[in-house]
Amino acid sequence: MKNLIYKELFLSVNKFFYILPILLAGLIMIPQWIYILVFMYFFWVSAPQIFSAYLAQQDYEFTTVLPVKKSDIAVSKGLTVIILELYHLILAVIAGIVHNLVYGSFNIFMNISPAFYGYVLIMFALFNLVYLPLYFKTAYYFGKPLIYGIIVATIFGIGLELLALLVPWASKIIDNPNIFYQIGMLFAGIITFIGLNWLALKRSARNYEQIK
Amino acid sequence: MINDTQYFNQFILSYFISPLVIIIIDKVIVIVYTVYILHTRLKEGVFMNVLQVENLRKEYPTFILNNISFNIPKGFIMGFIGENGAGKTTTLKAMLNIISKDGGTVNIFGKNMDEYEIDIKKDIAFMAGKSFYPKRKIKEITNIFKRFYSNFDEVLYQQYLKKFNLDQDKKMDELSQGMSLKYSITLALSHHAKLIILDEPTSGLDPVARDSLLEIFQSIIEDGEVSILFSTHITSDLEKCADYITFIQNGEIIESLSKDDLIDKYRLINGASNSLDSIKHDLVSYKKNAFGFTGLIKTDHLKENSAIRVGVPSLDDIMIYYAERGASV
Repeated sequence: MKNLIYKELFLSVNKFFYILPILLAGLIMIPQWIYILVFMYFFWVSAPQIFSAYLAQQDYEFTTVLPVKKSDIAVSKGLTVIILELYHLILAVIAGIVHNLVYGSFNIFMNISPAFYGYVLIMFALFNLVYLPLYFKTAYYFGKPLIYGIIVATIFGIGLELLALLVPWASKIIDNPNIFYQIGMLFAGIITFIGLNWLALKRSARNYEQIK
Repeated sequence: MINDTQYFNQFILSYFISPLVIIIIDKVIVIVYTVYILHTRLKEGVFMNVLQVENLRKEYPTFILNNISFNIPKGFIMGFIGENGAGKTTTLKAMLNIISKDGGTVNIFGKNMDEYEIDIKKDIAFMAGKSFYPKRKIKEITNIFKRFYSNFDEVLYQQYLKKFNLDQDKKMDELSQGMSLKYSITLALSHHAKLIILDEPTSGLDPVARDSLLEIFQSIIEDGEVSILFSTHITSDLEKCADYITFIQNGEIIESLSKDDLIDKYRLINGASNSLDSIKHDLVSYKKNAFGFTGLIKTDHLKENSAIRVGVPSLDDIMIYYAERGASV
């Protein structure tokens, strides 16, 4: 598994997708903005490019003959997505700290706080849960799975942002200034992220093994 | 003094019995030694089949791979022939669990493919003919590839790179098809693959590259450790280097024999149209022309007939007449 992930990160995924999150993290420095969009670029730009590159580079021709379990091929690709999402998140956390130092934490949409990163983790997990198992049904077509994944992630992410903007009582819950609530929400995000990803990887591996 | 009887006995003993005993002892020693050698070789697996495919089955809505069975003895080259779409690639992929199979068993190195897939894959190399990671340099791909094989031999790898004149800094798509195959073979030999499976390696190569590739195949199997299975529809390749031939058509194995046995099994015949009727039902298939007919027949079904001329078929002939039969059924 370690070798497969190494292969994904250093051979399959283009270097550009390690630079892109740095540029995107810079978007957090825009004052009063919908910050959840920063993470959505991953679905819009990185994911389709990475998965179409598997086809262009004949990745499966190379990977399927290696001495590895079939299910591990799917899991390693899923884990690569997760690693890239966490990479996005870590850079955004750094940018978020700078943002709050410069502008303060208030935002007309969701504030940047530990709770915000908890929501982001849940959004990533929802995307993975929908996208990965659907993609591994064919390990070829990624268009429809991506659209379904984006729809679910967008409803969740933009929904929260709009609630924070438009509905005062919801805004109070989402942007609760209590630090314990925020940390609690972050942990809830981490647990959801782990749980849903575990489910997504399990289903992906099963679907990939059953490909005719 | 010895009398006549004693003399006679001594004569018989020294001239007949003693040599006979010596010969018998000699033969017994030879037989015991041969049995011993055979036994140890069998134990070492020298005569084993590296690949045994039994009743392999794969169903698609429009195509069925039906009860495919064949074996490859260790240290030989087997050619896997059939027209385009006969099921060659599907067989190879189903055999290696690259696509799931619907039935049958595959044993490689005496181990079941489903149970020991990873162990087996460490000792085999499969080349599908398409070049992977076209924009990556050879050395980048090798650096990743060798991580998966604990027995990857760096020294041997460098030797083969030199032998095949491969430049490590070249990208995959800068290599010609022949060179890219040589690179794949280098990778296979560097991790000591004992079974090399190639899907249509020679199609698309020029005659010079093809010939040099076939020579490489022969040098690979020289020490008897490596076996090669390669699919092709270019039968002249097989005439040059294959020891065994498996012939597939419409998802079914027609023959799996040594090359000479396969050619001996069939005869090409031609004769006048009026002699066709008497022999028609024995023919694999036939073609009519202005002078009469030509057809393919199994040697067993051949009867003495002065009106019919008999010739040795080429592998192409066998393939073509079977395809003809498939088309007329």
